[in-house]
Amino acid sequence: MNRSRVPIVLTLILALLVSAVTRDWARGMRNRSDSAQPTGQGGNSSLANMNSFALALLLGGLRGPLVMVLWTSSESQKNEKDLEDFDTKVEWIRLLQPEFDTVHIFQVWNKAYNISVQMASLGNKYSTILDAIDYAQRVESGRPNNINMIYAIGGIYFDKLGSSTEKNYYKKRVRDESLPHIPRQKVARTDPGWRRVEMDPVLDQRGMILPELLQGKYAKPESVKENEWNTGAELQYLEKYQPFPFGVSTMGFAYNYQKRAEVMQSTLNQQHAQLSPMVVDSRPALALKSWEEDEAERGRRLELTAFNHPIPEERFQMETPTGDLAADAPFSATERPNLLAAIESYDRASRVGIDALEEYERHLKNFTINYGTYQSHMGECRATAEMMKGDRDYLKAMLATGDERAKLLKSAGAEYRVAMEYMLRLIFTYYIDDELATQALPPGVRRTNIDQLPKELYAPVLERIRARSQARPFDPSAEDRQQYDRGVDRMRARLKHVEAGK
Amino acid sequence: MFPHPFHFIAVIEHLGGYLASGILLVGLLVGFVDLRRFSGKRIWAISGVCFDESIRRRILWIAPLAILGIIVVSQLQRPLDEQDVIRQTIKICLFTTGMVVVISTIILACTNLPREIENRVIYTVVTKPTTRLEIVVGKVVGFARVSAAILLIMGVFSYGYLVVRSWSMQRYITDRLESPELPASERQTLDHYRQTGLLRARTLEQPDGLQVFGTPPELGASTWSMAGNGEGSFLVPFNLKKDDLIASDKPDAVPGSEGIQVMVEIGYRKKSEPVAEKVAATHKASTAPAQAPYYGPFLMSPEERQAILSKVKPQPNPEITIEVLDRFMNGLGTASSLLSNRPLELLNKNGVSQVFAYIPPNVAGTMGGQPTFIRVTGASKDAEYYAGKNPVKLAVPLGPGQGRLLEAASDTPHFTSRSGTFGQQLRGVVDGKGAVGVYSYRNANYSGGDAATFEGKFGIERSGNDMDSSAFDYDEPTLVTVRVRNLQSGKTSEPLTIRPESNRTTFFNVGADVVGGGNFDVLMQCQTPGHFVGLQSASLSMITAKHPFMLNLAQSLLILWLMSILVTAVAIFCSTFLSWPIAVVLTLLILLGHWGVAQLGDATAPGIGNQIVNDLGLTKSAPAKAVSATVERLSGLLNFMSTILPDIGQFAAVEDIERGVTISSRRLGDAAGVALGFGLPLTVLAYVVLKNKEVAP
Repeated sequence: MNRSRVPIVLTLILALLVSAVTRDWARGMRNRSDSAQPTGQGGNSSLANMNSFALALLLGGLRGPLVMVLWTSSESQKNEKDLEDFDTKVEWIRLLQPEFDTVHIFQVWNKAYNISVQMASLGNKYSTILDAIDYAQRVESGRPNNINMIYAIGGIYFDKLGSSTEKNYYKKRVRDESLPHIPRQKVARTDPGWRRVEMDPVLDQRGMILPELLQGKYAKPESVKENEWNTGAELQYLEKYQPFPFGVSTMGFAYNYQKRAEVMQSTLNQQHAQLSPMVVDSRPALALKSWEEDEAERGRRLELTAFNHPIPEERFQMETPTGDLAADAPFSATERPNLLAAIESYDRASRVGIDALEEYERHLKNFTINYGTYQSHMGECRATAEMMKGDRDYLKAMLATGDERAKLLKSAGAEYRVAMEYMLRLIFTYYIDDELATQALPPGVRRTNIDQLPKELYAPVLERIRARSQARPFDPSAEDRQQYDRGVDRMRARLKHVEAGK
Repeated sequence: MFPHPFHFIAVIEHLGGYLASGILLVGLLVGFVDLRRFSGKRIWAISGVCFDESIRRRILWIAPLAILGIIVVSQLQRPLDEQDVIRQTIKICLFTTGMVVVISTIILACTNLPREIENRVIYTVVTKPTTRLEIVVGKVVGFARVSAAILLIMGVFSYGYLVVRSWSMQRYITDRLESPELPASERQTLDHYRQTGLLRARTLEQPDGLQVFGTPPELGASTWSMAGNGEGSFLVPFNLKKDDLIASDKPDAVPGSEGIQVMVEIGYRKKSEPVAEKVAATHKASTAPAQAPYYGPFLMSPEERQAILSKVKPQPNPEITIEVLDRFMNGLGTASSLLSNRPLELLNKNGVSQVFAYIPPNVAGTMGGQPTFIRVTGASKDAEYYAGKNPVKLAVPLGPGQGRLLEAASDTPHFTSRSGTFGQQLRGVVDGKGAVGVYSYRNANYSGGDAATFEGKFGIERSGNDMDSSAFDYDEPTLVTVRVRNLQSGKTSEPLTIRPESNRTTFFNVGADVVGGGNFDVLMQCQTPGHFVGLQSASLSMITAKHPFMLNLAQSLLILWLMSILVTAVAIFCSTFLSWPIAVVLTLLILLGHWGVAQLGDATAPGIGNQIVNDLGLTKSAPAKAVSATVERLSGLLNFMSTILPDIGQFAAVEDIERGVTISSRRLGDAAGVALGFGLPLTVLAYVVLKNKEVAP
C-alpha cells in the first residue's frame, strides 16, 4: 500500500469506531429516557438487522431510489396480479426501510389481505396469511416489543384467520397445526427456497405450550408493580389456559397478541402508529369474547357430530338439535373422542368467557365511550359462560354412571338455571325493541331497570315476547335474538332431563 | 414546407436516421483521407493499450465484488416456488452484470481521453503515424474488449451459480413431490419441473385466437352457441365509412342522422331442454297415434291438456341485448327495440328468430370512420343461444320498409364470454356442461417428440353466490378439463384434468398426434361449481422447441455486450469535448434520455400545458397562456429529444431468459441495430471533434 494512504485508512477506521461508540451512546440515552422500556426494546438488536445493514452497504447511496423503484413496481405488480418476485421486493423494502413501522403495518396488511385474495386455493391463501405473520415476526425480532407489529399479528389472527369467509378452513388448520406434527417440507428454513406452507407447532404432546414460547426476556421492574407486564415470552398470555390437548384456537392466538399490545400501551406507554389507544385497549376483551364463542361453536359442532346430526349452516341453528338429548342417550364408542373434545371446548369457553368480563371491566375503567355496547357484550359472555358450564357437565354426565352422573346432572342443572336467568335478562335488556318491551314487560319495568322484574315472571315475559313478535309483520330484533332464544329452548329441554334424572 | 401533417410526423419519426446518415456523410467527407489509411492492426494495438491500461487499473476486481453482491442479494429472496428461485437468480445475475459492465465502461471510457490528454500520454500516440479515426475506433474496440472480459467472468460465474442453484432446487422439488399433502395445484407443475429441469430455454407458440362458446362446437360447424345470463356474447366487426351512413337520397345529411336498423338472426334452446328431445317431441305431436283416440294435432285429450296448462306459468321469451363498441371495446351505445320500452325478444321457439332493433342517430353517427363492433349478448338465464354466419345485418333507412345494407367486415361472428378480473370467464359447471374456451392454433410449428407440452397461466375467481356455505370449509381445487382436437384428422385427445392456481404457471402434455400438422383447437372447461377460470389470448402457449440454457445465456450476454459498445461510443464522444465528470453526466443523460421520457408517459402529451395551468390555479389570461405555451414547448422539446436518443429498452437481456424463453434473433437484431445505429454516428462525431481538437503541440 502506498504510504501516503496509511493515515487515510487509519482515519477511516477511527471514524467507524467513533461512530459506533456515539451510536451506542445515543441509544443508551434514548433507552434511559423511558425507564419502563425493556432492555431489548426497539433497535438494540443490531445483529438482527444485519441483512438491512448489508443491503444498505451494498447499495451505497442508492437505497432511497431503489426503495422508490421497489415500491412502485411491487404495487403495480400487485394491481396486475403478477406475484412473481413480489415477495422478494416486499422483503427488500423491509430490509431497506427497517425503521418505518407504517411501512411494515402496510405490508403486513397487504400480504394478509390484498395478496391472499389473489390466490384461488384456500391452502395458498392460508400460506400467504401465515407469510404476513412471518413478516411481522421478522420485523418484531429485529425490533422487539413493537406494539405495531404485535398488534398486527393479533389483528391477522382475529380478523383474517378468525373472521373471514374462509374462517372455518383457517381455524381448523391453525388448531391442527398448533399441535405437534411432522413438517410438510424438508427444506431448511434458512434456505432461500424455503416457503411458509404451514404453522409451526406451539404445543408438545401433552398439549403444553413449548417452553421456548413461554421463556421470558424481561424481568418486571419495581416501578411497574401495579401494572401488568409483558415478559417478552411469545405466548405469555396463553400460559394460564394450558394444557391445550386439542390445539389452540385462532382467537386464543389473537387474544395473546392483542393483550401483549394492550400491555405495551398501558405499561410501556407505547402508541400505535395508526390506531387510537381506545381501540388497542378494547381488543383483549373482544378477542376473549370471540374465543369463547369460537369454543362454544366448536363444542356444538363436535356434539352434533357425536350424535350423528347434520351440522346446520347458521350458528343459532346448532343449539336445538341436541338440546333434547337425554343424559343416558346412547352414542357410538367411536364418538367418545368427539364428546371429550366437546367437553374440553365447553370448559374452555366458560373459562375465557369469565376472563372476558374482567377484561371488559378493565377497559371500561379506561374508556367509557362504548359503555352500552360492552355491557351487552358482558351480558352475552356471562350467559354463554354459564351455559357452557352446564353443557360441559351435562356431557360429562353422559359419559359417567351412577352417583357421578347424578352429581354432574345436578351441577349441570344448577348452571343451566343460572345461565337461563342471565340469558333471559340479556334478551329482555338488549334484544327487544321499545314497542315489544312495552307490550311484554309488566308496568313499571323497562329495559333499563330489568333487575326489578321478579324472576318468576321471566318465563311468562318470554312467552309474551314470542307471541307478540310472531303477531308483528316484522320484528327488527328477532334475528339478533335467535341465538339466545334457541339457547333458552336448549336449556329448558336439558333441564327437563336433569329434573327427570336421565 | 410540409403539405400534409403526416409528412412532418414521418420526418420526425425518422429524424434519428436522417441525423445518423448526415453525420456519417460529414464524417466521410471530413475523414476520407483518414479512412483510406485505416489500419486494423493499428486499431488492435491501440485497443490493446486501452485493455492493458484498464486491467492495470484493476477493473476486473469489480467482478468478485459483483459476485459477492449477487450471492448476498440472492439469499434475500422470497420466491413463489423453486422455478421462481432460478428466475429471480437469473434476474439478479444479469442485472448485476449489466450494471457492472455499464458503470465500469462509463467510468473507463469517460476518463480515458481526458486523462491521456492531461497526462500527455496521448503525445505518444498522436505523434506516431496513427490517424484520429484509428485512435477513436481503437478505444471503442479496447473498451469493448474490457467489457467482453467482464462479461465472460460474470457469465461463467452466473452459469455455474445457476447450475448449483438449480441442482439444489431440484432436490427440494423431489422432496416436495414426495409429500402427500402437496396441494394438487402444485403437483403437476413441480412434476414438470422435475422432468424438464429449471434451467430452460424454450420456444413458445401463442394461439391464434380465443373464443368462448356455450357448448363445444362441432368440427366444421356452421352454427355456434353461447351461454345466457349475460355471460355469452358474440361480436360482429364493421368498418364503416362516414359516407356509408348517409341515406343516398339526402347527400347533405349528417352521417348517421337517420340511425341504423339492425337485424339479428339468433336462436335459443332452453337449458333443460336438449335439442334432440325437442325435435322428437315436435315429431310426435304431428303424428296421429295408431291406437289411442284421435285428438287432432295433440297427444292428449282437451281435459288433460287443460289440467296441465292450468299449472304452467307463461314463460317469458328469451331476450338479448345489442351494443355498439369501438375498436377498444368501449361502449358507444345500445340498439333498442323498434317498439318503445320493449326488450329485444326471440319470438320463434323452434328455430332462428329475427330480432329487429334500431341504433339511434347519436350512436350511429359515431360508427363511421372507425372500426366498430356489434355485440349481441344472451340475457336470459335459462336459455342457451346459437347463431350462424352473418348473424347481424345493418341497414341505413331509406324510407318505409326500405334500407341500404351495410356489409360486415367478417361474416363469422366472434364468440366471447363475460369479462372478469382475469379475462373471459369460464363458469364452473360439473359434467362438462359449462361454457368452453377454445384456443385455436393454425399452422403451429410443432416439431417435438411424443408429447406436446402446453404452458398455461390462468386466473381463478370464486363466487360465493354459486357455492353453499361449506364450500369455504375445504380446500377444493379448481378443476379444468382440457381436450385438444386436431382439425385435419378430426381426432380429439382424451380429456385431461388440470388444477391451476390463480396466476401460477401450470403445465400439461397431450399426444403429439393431436397437434400434428399444426392446426388444432384446445378446448377448456371449468368443472368446479362456484369457480370461474379467467382466460386471455396469451394465457396459453405451446412449447414447440427446447434449446440449451447456456446458449440462451450467451445470447443474453451478447445483448449486454452490444449495450456496452453503445455506452463506450457515447462516453468517448462526450469525453472528446468535456471534462470527465461532465462527460459521465452527459453520457448518462444520453443513455437514459429516451427511457426517461417514456417513463413520463402522458405527462409529455399535448394538453399538459393547460393541465399545469389548472393545477397552478392561474386565472389571468396572460400568465396562463405564457405558462401553458412554455410547458407545451418544453414537453414538445422533450419528445423531440427522445426521438433522437437511443432506446436502451431494446437491450432486453433479461425478460426472455428469466421466463425460460429462447432469445429470438429479432431481439439480437434490435439490440445490434440500436448499438450500431447510434454507436457508429457517435464514433464518427467523436472522430470529427477529436480531429479538430488540439491534443498535442
